[in-house]
Amino acid sequence: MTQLAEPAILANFEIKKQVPKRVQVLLGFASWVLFFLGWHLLATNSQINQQLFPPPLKVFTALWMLFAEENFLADVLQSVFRILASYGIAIAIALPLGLLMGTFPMVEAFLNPLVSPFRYLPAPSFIPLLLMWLGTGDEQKIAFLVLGVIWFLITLIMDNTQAVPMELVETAKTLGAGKGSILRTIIFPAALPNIVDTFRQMLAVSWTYLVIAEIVAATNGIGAMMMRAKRFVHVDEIMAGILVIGFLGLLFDTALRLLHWQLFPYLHRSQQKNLYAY
Amino acid sequence: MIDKSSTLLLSDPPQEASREQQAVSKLYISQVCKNFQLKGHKTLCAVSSVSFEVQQSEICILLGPSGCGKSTILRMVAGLESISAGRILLDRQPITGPGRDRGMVFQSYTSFPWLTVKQNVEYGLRVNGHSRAERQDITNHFIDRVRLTPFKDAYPDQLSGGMRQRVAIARALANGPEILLMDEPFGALDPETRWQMQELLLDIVRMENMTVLMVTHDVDEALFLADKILFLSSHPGTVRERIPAPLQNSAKPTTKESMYEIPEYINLQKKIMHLMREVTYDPTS
Repeated sequence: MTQLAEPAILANFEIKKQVPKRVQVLLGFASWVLFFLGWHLLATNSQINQQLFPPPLKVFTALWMLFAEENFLADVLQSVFRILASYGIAIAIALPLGLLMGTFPMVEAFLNPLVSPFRYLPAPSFIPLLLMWLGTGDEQKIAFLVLGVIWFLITLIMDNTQAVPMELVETAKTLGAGKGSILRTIIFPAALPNIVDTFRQMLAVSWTYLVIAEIVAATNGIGAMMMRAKRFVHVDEIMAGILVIGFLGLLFDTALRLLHWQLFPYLHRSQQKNLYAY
Repeated sequence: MIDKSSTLLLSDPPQEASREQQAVSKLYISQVCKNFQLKGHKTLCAVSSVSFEVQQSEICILLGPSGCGKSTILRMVAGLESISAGRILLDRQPITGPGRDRGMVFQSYTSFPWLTVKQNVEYGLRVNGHSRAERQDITNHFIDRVRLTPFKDAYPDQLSGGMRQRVAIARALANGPEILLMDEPFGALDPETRWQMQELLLDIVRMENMTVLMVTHDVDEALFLADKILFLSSHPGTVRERIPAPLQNSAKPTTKESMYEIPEYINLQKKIMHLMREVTYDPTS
């Protein structure tokens, strides 16, 4: 039986075949161009109310105006401050707890039944309580953001710690290391690459909650600006806010990725493996 | 199982003789049992009443089919596994847990990936509070012994499997152990690398005057390295046969080829293969 010739375009779709870097960049760029083009065409369609669905150019103009004339930078910095402060607090609590729970099953048995169910309590449902306890200032916003991620952080860091190979711990034991030494010099550095990855992934959740935090009883921040814009049906400004949050999220994600490469070069060298023969 | 062995321990007539043995042996293992707790109050007897000794500077090999408890015995000596019954003495001191007097090399690669070769080898000395100068000297000596000096600042991920196992050996030896415990250390390596590693190990152990207890299921490896082979059978693990090597210590052949020129080794190989067939369940027969 003769093999039918494959259409030329399909020949490029090989299962799990690596694509050259240049093509990768080009394709990634093309998807964004198509996205904006589609948006533009949709928004300029005569059936669409442009005030409710402005085209991309209008959104970018609004973004420019926000920074130039409405001191939007202060709002952005306020939001970034809330993210960093809340995430710092969450890490300061979750890191030691997660490490201890992942290292000592005794601690896990005590704390996990308490911490684990808290993940399923929706953080926004605590907002009314936090408003009553802490008022409408930064304390309330930061407390809410901490509540939103801390339970996940604790359990994920615990998982990362438990994933440290037992052989590494046993090797350290046979080399005469005590419990404290093993925790400090083996378990922590062995789990750290995955913990940094956990930080990166959970930071995305923090950005998601930021908008909720700043929509309720807030006077500043990106979310508050979006709520103000809604009152005047400035849809372009709302969309500009969404873009800024997306951009900032991506920026933080990239920064943590770069940090991962910087801190753990030994995990990013797989191509060079067996550099030396025998 | 526990009851039987403990009464054995009390009523065994060769107890007096073994006390003498105990005085001269580097490692003394007497009537050791290991029971694992299974679900539903059942116990599995993995090791039953195993006794043997290892002398100073001797290479003792535990050989046997899978499930004969050889790794469990090694882990009990390392202190990583509790002893259900019996006694294990190192230099006449009972073993109570892991310690730096017993260095261990595992089959899986256990180099710490965030440390360089040098920092890996130095690890034991560092956690045991040795001075910087002392660490430097000892570390350099053992990195040189395993011939990794040009790679001492490389990270484990940049090394081949054989090189990583050499790091593990240097790391265990740098810590100054009384005995080196090895659990199928070359099991994951290519055959040709395994060869080189066996010859290197023999060389290092002789130079450092080290006592070795090693687990393997590679007959060829056991013949080449051993001063004494303990052949174990499974379910439960017991010592089936104690086999002294045809040549001991410095008289042993130093290369694989020269070993197979000696008829006694070939005969012993045949004997061990017969034993292996006897103790292994063969589904085709």
